[in-house]
Amino acid sequence: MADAEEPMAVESGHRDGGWDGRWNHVRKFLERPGPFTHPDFEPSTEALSGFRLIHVVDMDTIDVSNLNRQFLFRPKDVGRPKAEVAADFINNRIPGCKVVPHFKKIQDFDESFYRQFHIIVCGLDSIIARRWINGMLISVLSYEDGVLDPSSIIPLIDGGTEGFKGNARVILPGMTACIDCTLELYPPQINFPMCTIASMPRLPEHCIEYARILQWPKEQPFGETSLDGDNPEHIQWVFERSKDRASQFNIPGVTYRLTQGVVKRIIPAVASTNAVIAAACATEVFKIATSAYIPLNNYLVFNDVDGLYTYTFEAERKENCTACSQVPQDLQFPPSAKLQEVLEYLTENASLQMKSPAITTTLEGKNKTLYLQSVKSIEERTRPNLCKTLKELGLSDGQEIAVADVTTPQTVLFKINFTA
Amino acid sequence: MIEKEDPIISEEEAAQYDRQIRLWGLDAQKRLRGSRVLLAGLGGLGAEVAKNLILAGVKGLTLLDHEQVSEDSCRAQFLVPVSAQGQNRARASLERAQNLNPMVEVHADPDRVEDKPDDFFLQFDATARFCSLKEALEVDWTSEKAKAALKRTPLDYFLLHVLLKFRTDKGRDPDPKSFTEDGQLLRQIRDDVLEALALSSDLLNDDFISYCFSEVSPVCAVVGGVLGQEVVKALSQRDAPHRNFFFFNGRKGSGVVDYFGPN
Repeated sequence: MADAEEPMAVESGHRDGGWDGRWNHVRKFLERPGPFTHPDFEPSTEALSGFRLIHVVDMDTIDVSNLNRQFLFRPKDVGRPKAEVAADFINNRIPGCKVVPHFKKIQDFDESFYRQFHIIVCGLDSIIARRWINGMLISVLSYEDGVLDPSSIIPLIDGGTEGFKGNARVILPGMTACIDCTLELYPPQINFPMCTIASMPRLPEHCIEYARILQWPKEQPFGETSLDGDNPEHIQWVFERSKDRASQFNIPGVTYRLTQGVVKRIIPAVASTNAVIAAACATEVFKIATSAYIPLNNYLVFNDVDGLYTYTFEAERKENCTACSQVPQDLQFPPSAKLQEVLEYLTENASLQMKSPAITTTLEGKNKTLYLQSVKSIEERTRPNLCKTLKELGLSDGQEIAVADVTTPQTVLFKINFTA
Repeated sequence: MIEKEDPIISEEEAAQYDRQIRLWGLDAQKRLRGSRVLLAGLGGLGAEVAKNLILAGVKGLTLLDHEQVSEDSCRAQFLVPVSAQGQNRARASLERAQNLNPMVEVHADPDRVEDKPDDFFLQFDATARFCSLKEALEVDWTSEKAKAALKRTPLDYFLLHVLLKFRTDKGRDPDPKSFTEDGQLLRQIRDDVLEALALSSDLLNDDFISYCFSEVSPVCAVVGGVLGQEVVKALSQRDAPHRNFFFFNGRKGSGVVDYFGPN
């Protein structure tokens, strides 16, 4: 760390060779007037680095299995909200640092909340959540005559881990690659094909999924309750049925632990990988906040499954990214296509990967919901539309539809172009 | 090495260590559960490694450090309270280290590692062996093969040479309080070290000096994470350790594994 008496300045980049020209845009961002470039700023994971005010949002409570790595928590804290215990720990430990906890989902807050921050760091547990916060920060960007106003950019530093693998990335919304620009980088979630589960199991996991997906709803062993991964009786039931199935097909390896892991979709986790990725993220927050160094450009992967592998590369923006490119999204469908096909495209397309899109449009000057899944009554009312063709629904060539989904805080506009 | 009895993982441990057992298996966790580890040096890096080993659930961890807590210690070493200045660093780190996981026996030892008799070390489990640090640093850089490898060699390797020489000559690490004199000495050592290796002094330009004066806590955490996992691998005998240096550059956010030593 440089001597504190030297003035904080953006790294000129000469010595780093090829980094020079590429970082002009970042330099403009870092040199803008604001709290970061204040000459008295003292850069003295972030609390130890001298950050004074940190808000923490987490919807979860502490579980005993968290204690092997989440070291702000102790056995006596099990059951308490993570955000609150973390805040207490740090506020008591680091004088002068204030952590404000929010025992809430990130989606419980709107842009007025997020606008107050200089930097946002996440360690979220799903891609959906990442896309949501990504979308939120893009929605607060302001453009004047089509030019992005750098003072509206809130940097997003995102880290994630799974066992011995992890990654950390720096996102300057509107300027560098966002979460959706690189959606295809994320490996597909493992969902076994139904035919394998139903008739041709090979792995113990297939047997467990059979019990979970097919036997439980059919036999309703505890009445009309859904399967609860945290209920040992439920897991025990699934475990026993899985063992039966496994012995029918001579498949070894069904254990209680595995059953629980499959039902709860448990991801293994250790302290060391999290230390590496958390520290990489903290380093980036420090660099950006002090404007003293050029940030990570812009994606670091880490893997010590076998030996050690780490690589840093510049993820590129996608020209027509649905989240950050501001380019209206064109869809091509024949007028005879059914609405169902549009829905499938929105969920299955690798760049979109929506979860349960709600589609609305304007017909004869009025807003009309074509299909919405999340509210039971509306789902029932609009379900017949899925089998109707776009023409039958009254859509015309070039029709704009608005799509809402959990993956984005703002609706996405699409234009439907009719093909022959 | 003392013979270990086959440790049993209690229900409480199985619940707490569940997420890592799913990663490296129950047998590996049992071996960890039976291991006693010695950790010498409780600076920022040592504290991070200690944290990772304690959370992993080893049987015992001895923190060995003869140094005293200084003002700088608190910035990068999170086990030492601000109020502990002047105390022995190992002893000052004990309480917070123990609190991380009451199931691990954590001890503090204020002695110098050089003063310990040979049989002191027998109570600990051996870690995997690399070539000694001395051999790793005695690479002949004049051979053609070495010259070709030079291009890919992280500069941090040479920085390591310089820092170790400083430590040998001065008996301490560079101190921000004597920034100017220590900076001069570092530059001089850099010139000497590179000359002795028959390399140009341009290889490591003057910037490096600003990196030598303190530990930055996130960088300690990255290296501490990797190092901690290396120890876990060694104790659980599951995977081969890295060969044999890991360098992390916090400025670029990049890391590299490289091998130094006899071929």
